[in-house]
Amino acid sequence: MTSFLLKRLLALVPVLLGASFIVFSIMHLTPGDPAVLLLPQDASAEDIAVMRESLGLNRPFLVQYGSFLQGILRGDLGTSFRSGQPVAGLIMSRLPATMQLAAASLIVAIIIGLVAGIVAAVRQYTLWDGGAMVTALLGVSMPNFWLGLMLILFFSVFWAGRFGSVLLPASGYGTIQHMIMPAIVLGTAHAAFVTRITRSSMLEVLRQDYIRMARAKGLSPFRVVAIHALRNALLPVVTIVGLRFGVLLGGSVVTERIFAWPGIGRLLIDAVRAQDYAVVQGIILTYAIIFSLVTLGVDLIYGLVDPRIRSQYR
Amino acid sequence: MERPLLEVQDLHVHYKTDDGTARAVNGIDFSIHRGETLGLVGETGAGKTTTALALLGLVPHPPGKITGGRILFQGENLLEKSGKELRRLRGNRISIIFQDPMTSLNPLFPAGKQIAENLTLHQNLPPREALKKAGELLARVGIPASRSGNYPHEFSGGMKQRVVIAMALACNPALLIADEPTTALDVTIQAQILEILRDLKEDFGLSLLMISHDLGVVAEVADRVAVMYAGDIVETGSVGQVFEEPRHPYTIGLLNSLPDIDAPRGESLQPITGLMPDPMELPRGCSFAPRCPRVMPVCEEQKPPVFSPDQGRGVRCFLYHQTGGQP
Repeated sequence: MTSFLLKRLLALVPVLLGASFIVFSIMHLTPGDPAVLLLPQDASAEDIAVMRESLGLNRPFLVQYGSFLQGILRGDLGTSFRSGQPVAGLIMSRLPATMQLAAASLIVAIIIGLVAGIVAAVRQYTLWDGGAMVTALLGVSMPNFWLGLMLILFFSVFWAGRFGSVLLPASGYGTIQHMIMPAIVLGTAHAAFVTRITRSSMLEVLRQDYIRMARAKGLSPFRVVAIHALRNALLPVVTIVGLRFGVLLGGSVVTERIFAWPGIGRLLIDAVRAQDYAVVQGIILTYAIIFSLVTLGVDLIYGLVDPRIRSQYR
Repeated sequence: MERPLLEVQDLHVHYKTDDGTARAVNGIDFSIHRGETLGLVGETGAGKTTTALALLGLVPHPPGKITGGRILFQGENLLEKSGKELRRLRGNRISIIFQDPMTSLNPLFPAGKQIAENLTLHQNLPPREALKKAGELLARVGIPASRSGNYPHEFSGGMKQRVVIAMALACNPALLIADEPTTALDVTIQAQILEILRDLKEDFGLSLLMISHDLGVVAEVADRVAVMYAGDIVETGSVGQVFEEPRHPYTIGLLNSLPDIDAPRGESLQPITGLMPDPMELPRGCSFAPRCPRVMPVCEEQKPPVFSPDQGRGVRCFLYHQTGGQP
């Protein structure tokens, strides 16, 4: 298992190298000159040239990429053009908020999704099943910015108007109450996906002979489902949760914006609007790293769940 | 005479689907005494597995439903028992071995743990002791106890079936149902598994319901035989009676359709013409009438009752109506 982990970590190197190259290239190809942006409107062509020189922007592309890589290895992602602060520091100060939000919404998604999916599968073609599937369809189809605004409208605006104070704060960060609405908004679509995949995976497993065998052993219906079926049904669910983590990060950009959540998603939007290249670059790279680590985590969970896969981890 | 361990009386099982009602089991009667092996033979779709599932209260519902009859196990009607009472019997007093050992074991749990599960459930053994006993049971079916921690994918098909047998016998059941236990296995492995079953049957003193479409397997292990056709038991008798002197035209046809190694080369097999009727549209009279070479007008009108042409034999056929046994 340790050697498997080392191998997988080593395999991350080329992946991240590729990601960094793509990120850097895109930033390089994007129109707009940072030197111009940094200088006052009336700066002369000479001033601009001096600025380009000092930023190293007139060096060949690959040389710039090389020094960008060197910086990364030292933990230096460059300096924000706008605030003059180091990018790495900016990201690290915002990352915990984003990870908290992602974790909270994943928990929401997994708990709701698993329970609804299992109930729908065990009670197939009943009202429970139909209700879960319709709700899941709504959840998948609902844009999260719209859901966010509706929640704010109800729990903050309407509630304050009716009862004198808000039930949940519309924006900000720091308490559990602040976390509830953003987590629901970000988690809803995922809960819907998890529900659907859990249901279909569970239905597949419940038809298996070993489930009939488990019943024939005299196990209670609860134990049959919770012990024998659920673990077998979990692999596709883990896959979907892992794959959709990227979508979750993407969604967090919008959600953080709506709820004024101080995470890297909001930092990213602000940076894009200000054409703060170094920050944009750093954040996208951070997303790539997180996504790679999540994928690795998914593979490790596979091994924990399924001994057949574990025996291949050598 | 001692009361049989299991008595099935007039059992009916139907499957309701959108296309109609499939009458899978239509009023069968049979009994198994202590220590006895009853072979239940018939073609695929005759209702054998449904019968087995009905005994355990595991007919999938919906669409299946036991619509009538009684299943007396040790004198108590299982059809009147609650789910909880049935669960206490399953895997404990009545066990089953399914056809395909490849899929009967949960791929995610070690073999020993799956056997131990029965013991913790029914005998309240602490986990450690249950695992120890699981190892002993594995050794009993010819697998080293040291492999108790292995996962199903680390065993071959024959070994998996041994694990399943160990699991079924864990709580020392009174009745073991073996639903085509050797069908999915190689011939050499089949022989080993049958050998193990026969040994264990002696040692554990259990009664065995051996379900198979393989007449050879049944002839080898069974004391008595019940022949099933389209949801009916058409003939019962001792192995000698049924195999040497079959009475029902279906049984006769079945035995004639077997390849015989002593037959002259080039002689072709004699299959029974036609197909088993659709369980959704069973004939009004005898369900074998459409294929029967000796069909009479009455066969198409009425379902024949069970006649007893000789001692210990039952035949559901009008040929034995007034002849006092001889057709």
